Amino acid sequence: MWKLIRIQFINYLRYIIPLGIFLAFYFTEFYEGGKLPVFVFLCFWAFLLISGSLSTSESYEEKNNGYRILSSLPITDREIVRSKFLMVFCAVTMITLLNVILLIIRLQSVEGLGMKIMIGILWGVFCLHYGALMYIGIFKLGYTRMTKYFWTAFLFTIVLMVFFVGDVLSGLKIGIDSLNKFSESLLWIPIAIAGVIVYYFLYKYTIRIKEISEEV
Amino acid sequence: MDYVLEVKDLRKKYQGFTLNDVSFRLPHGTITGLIGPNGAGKTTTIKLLMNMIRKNSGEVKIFGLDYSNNEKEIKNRIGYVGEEQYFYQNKTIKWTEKFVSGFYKNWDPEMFENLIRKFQLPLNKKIKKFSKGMKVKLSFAVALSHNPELLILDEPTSGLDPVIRREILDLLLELKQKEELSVFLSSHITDDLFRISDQIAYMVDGEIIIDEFKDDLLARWKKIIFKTESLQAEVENGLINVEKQLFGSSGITDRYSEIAGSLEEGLKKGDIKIENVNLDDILISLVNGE
Repeated sequence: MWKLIRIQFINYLRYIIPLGIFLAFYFTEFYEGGKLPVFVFLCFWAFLLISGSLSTSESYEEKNNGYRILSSLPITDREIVRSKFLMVFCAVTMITLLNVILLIIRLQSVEGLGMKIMIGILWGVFCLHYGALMYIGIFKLGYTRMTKYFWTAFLFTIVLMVFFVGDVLSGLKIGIDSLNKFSESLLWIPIAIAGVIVYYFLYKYTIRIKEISEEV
Repeated sequence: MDYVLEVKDLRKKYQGFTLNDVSFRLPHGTITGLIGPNGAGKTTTIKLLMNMIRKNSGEVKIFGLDYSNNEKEIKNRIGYVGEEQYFYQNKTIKWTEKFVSGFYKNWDPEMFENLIRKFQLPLNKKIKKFSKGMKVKLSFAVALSHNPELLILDEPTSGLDPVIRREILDLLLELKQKEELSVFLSSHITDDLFRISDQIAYMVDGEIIIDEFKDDLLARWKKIIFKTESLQAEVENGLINVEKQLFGSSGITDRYSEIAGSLEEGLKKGDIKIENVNLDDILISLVNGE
């Protein structure tokens, strides 16, 4: 299993190295001008890291029949799934922690900090679920078929969100003030923990999918 | 007898094909050849043995263990060469060894190096530039370098030119000398199996219709060449594939030991001749005799 984790880590590293370069550049060039909040960038980056590294590694596996190679080696389906989920979890946790730490370090005023931390962590949970759903699709359908359905559904959801979420939020009178109050109530912490627990169950479910699936 | 592989009532259903309650056993230290026409279910059987696909029912025990809790242990003791050779195409042999060796407890780098040298494979060339024969040889090197107790081979010589096919068969004959190694291989090339197997299993339409030691099979199946009316009617009616010949007729029997006594007189007179058959004769007789 560690062998697989190491290979995936190298794959993630490809995305983490440019992140470091960007952050170095960001702090010297942009931050002083306050043109782009690092918080938004890191949220975006967490999503990009999971989506990008997962797509490249899984399309590579499919092209090379990687899962067929693995199925002839002494490694169980459980270990294959565990290594994938563990890497997603580590990558998202690291970026989310980095985000929170940077928010605290670069803190100019306390105003809005709680909300940013909350959004950062909930976004991290969203990225975990996104990765888990991708893997469920991959082990059920194979990468190519999964992307066909998944991306269509994903783009459809984004379009729906862009057009309707704003209206729904304003209809429910959820504005910045409400979000601030919600973040101060710390109710989001159990929600985030529940999100991580859901991720664990998605992992368990993926093992079942992998164990009953024919060759992917 | 000690068995390394025991399969009982193994069933796998696909649309239009069912592997139908297949049972067989592989004695320790023997080579068993699974033969059958294309589409008979040989690859399905082997994939089930490797736990690469899921069975509908039945039992597979390897080294007395089943896959449910012992997959790693079983696969650590198995060497596998598939019908298609899958490797990471843009990697080299060096990389492949580094990758694969990490999964095995007993990986022997020296043995791998020796096999690569023996097969004259280039260490630093990308695998996508390898021929089919080179990939098969690399598969064998990977399959043998962790000192497996059981080799499972799915049509290892199919699609290879005669020279490489011969090399692979020679390697298998060499492996046959190692008494601790058992081999289960499938093929539709009967000559290959006949040369190296101790035991033959014949599969047709998802069912095993023969599972016997080669020597027993050859003792039971004989070709009888006879002059007209030199055979008892009962014996003649029991022959398969009866053909008219210039000086009489010929036919194949699968009950030679039972009828041998009744042939003695004809043999003395020279009216009857007995010949050994090859695996092809047996298989054709089985298909025609159905």
